[in-house]
Amino acid sequence: MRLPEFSFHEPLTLDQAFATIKKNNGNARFLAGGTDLVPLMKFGLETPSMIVSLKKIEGLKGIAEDNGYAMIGALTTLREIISSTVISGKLPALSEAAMAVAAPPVWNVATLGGNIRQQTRCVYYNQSRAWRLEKEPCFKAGGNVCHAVPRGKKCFSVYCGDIAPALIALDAAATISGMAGPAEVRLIDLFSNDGLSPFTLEKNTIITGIKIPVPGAASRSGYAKLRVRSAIDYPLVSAAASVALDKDSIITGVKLALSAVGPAPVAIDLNGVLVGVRIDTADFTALKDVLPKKTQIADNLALPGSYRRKMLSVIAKKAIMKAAERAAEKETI
Amino acid sequence: MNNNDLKYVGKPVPRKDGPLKATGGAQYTVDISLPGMLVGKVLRSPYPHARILNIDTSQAKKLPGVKAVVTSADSLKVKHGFIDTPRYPADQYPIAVDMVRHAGEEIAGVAAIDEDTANEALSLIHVEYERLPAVFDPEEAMKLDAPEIHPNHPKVSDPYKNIGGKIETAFGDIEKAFTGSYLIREDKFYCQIRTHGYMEPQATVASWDHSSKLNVWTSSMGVFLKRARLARTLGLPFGSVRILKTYVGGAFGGKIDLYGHEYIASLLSMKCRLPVKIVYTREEVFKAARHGQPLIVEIKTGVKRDGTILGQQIRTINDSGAYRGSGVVAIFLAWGFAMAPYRIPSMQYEGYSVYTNNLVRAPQRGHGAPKMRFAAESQFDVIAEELGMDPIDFRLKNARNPGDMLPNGDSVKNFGLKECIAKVAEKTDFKAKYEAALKERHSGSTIKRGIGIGTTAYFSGSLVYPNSSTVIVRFNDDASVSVMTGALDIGQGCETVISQIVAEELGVPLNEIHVHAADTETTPVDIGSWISGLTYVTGNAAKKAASHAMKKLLNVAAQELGSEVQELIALDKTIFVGHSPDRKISYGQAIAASIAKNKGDCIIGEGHFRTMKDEVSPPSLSTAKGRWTENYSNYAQVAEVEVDTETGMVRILKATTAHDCGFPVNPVLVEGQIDGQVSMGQGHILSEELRVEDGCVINPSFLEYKMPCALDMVETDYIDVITETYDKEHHYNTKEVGEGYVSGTVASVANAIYNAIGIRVKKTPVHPQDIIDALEKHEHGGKGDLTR
Repeated sequence: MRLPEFSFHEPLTLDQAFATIKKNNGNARFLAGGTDLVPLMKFGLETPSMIVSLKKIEGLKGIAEDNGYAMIGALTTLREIISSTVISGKLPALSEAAMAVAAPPVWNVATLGGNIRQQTRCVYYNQSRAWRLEKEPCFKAGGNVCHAVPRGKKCFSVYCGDIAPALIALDAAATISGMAGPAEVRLIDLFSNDGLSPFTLEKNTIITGIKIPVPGAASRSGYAKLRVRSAIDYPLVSAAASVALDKDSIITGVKLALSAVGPAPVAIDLNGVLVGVRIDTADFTALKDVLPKKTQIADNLALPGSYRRKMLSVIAKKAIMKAAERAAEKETI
Repeated sequence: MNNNDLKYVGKPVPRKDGPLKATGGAQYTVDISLPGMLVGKVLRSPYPHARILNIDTSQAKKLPGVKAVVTSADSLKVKHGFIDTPRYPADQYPIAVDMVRHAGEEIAGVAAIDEDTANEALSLIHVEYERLPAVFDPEEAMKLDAPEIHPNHPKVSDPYKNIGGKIETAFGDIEKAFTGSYLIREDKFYCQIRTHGYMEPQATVASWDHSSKLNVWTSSMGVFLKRARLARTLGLPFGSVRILKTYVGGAFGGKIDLYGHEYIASLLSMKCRLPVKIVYTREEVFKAARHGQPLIVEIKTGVKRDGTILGQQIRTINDSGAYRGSGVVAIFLAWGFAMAPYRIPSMQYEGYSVYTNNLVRAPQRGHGAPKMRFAAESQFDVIAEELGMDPIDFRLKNARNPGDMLPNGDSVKNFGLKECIAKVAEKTDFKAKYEAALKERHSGSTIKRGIGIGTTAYFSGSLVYPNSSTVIVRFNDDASVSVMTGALDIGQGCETVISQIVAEELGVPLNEIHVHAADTETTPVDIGSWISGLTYVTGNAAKKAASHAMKKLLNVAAQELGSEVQELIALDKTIFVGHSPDRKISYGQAIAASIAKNKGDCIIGEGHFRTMKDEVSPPSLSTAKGRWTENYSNYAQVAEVEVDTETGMVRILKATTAHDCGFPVNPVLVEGQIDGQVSMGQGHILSEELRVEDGCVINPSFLEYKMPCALDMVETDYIDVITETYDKEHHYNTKEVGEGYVSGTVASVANAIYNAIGIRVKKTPVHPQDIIDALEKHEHGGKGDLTR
């Protein structure tokens, strides 16, 4: 499949980048690794006339530990995240989530910011022009139907990012640069929960960096992902968890976030469930009660929604167990 | 001759084309570039069933850069078919005439100076359709009120108008068999549509040259069949169509027959007199090319109390798609795969191939065997369990013995199936693991392990056009050797195998054997890389050709050395007199002597080979009468699996294959075939499925079509059960190795899943949600199988 024609700009500063975007009246798009945008352009689902590459802008890359926080530039590649011992040692869910993305060649180009800001997906949306001759375009492709949910009145496309749930469970915040100047936004607040337009950010803003509080030794994290194959696949359901234990392996705090459950990742309020019990005697049946009853899971990924709903608690438990075992053993991955 | 005396055959020599492929030097069709070459694109129907009311190409023709546009109006309207007989006449136009019967069917072709222009031209062709009711399920299509897909096609099963093929055959007395049975089981199994998954998409370059010859480079499985189909549909003499060799990036059955784009590229080139290249996108492969055969198998088996099979009644239904494709062959072959491996004294078989508005089907590695063996082997395990026997003993009791005669007149000859079953069971510690899994079923662990077995017997070459192979072996002046063969290496390594055979015969090192292959103009006819007979048929033709050349060389040497041929010994390209080795002549000197003294004979050998030389014709597709093959390969495969009862995910831990492939000319290529087929079987049983809604493929990419990837590969182990040795005075008794193992993997994994969790698998693929649903049902006291 061919890319449509577009012009290409490689600014050296953020100011230049925003100026170019502004000049193009909303018909320009920022490019980071391109692993989400380029396939969408090949399908004719994104049709920018101008691509503004962020690659030559200094200061958007790198991993540093500073004052109790891990600071990661948005243009840092997944490979760099996976290779970082700070991240694998203290923020293992992030490392694990990055490794769960696609396949190793993709890690070399895909970026942290780009992964967070990937478009929502649906088997009925991520299709070519030839497909749209066979079936009416859906809501997200500019039409008026939903093929995934018969008589559905809105878009049920799914946010399939692996990294965002890990960052949410790790309490991360994103630094945003845009027309209105820099700002810091909690990760979860980046998402609108609307399949048509999944982000709360204005189109012409960029994430410049991610800031994660580095947990103490008694708190560790984990990521679990349900997929058909060992590589390539987007999650069918995934979960990230941070678990803090006291010296007797009693759980003192759990943070849990889910992905591939609807148009946005979901932070779960555990409402005290699992807290105060020893990890090896924890009863996970109560987990089912605190997980969302009403998700927007539909039949629009590789496996049916009914199955994915059943797997929520299973995958959540796997993520919590991974985190807890690491917290107990102070293990790194 | 003792196998230890062999120098080249029977050895794991590396592939001749390995370095070229690894360094990017091998030229695939997409790499062909000719002066003035245009980009061709195909306009396809978005609808599964419609009448074409009008095609307006005027705007497309006016677009600057467009050099030709073709529709059926430019064609001779000659139909073609994988099968073309009086009972089953050709039923498909290579470019749609007035009607489309599946989404993706070819409507028009354009040739333009670049891809963007060609794509734009497609969007400027306006087609008016009248949509027609369509049918997608074969059992629905068999109903009397289903929309009729081919009104003019001869009816083989009146009044069921969409039944495009029917086969019926029987032997023994099935009524008596069932009356005398202690236990009778009836089960129904379903298999999905899978694609072949070749990495190189369909691609063709056609060039109509100044001498009015059509030159075609196309990714295929054999050049002579392509020539025949193209010449016939284009109305050209065979001699005016030349198919040339290209490297092929996999086929697995999916590149045999004539494809619309090959015809369209040719027609475009003939129209604008410039070369035209058409390369499919991956999406086009998924949405328009042919895929494998989905099959429904209903199977009823009666056994004695001691497990002896008395009779089997089988009915198969194949969804052939919009045209016949290889559907009628699949239902014939499925019969063969039922009757070959085990002794079944009475059998009644009927098979139906049914037109639907789905994509057309091609053969696919195993062509019916994986589905038939999945059904039969699963039912064997059910029966064994009900009789209180273990799966190994049940199979050993019923497997055929060497020398058994089949109902079609074939002998299984040196059949190693029983030995395969016994050895694979022993090596995998089958019985102990099987029992351990039964005990573990009710433990608290959420991960369950299981072990299962599947077996197959497979034909090794049959009589299908062009029926035979010829090879020419030519000595060059420096005693290097040129081999002319029509065989096309599609990745299985046939050029390496042919070289090994020639090298052995001539005593010339492998690196001095040069193969010139797969060119309909300059190489002799070849059977093709698609009925698992290339090593047997072409390999023996190569042996005969080489021995013919060698005989000539030795005759010259005898003249020159003044000795008898029987006294001569050939070693390292030199011929010695055995009892006085200082009397010798080099191959080069002998060749020069032949030219000088034998009327210019430069020493060329030719060899022909045909399987079943006394059979006039191939077996009947309506009655299954007639012989099938001379050599039956057979295998027993054991899979060990792990089922996560929380997620329903199944992991295959190990696949162990005991195989009887006759005499292995190249053991490392045999192992490669096993590994490749284990991964295909893995995809078949666990994850691969072409998802089609109302005739539209909804997962047309390798992202959403779940073919196992590198990290999913299964650990494999091999046990050689070699039943044939090579005797230099006779031909090679090689057996099939390229297709049958898929079956073993599918069946053994299904049986291993049962062993692990007590759920009988009756459909493929086994999705994790199927496992979870079945487990939930069982938890609530229900029984029930994993089915559709």
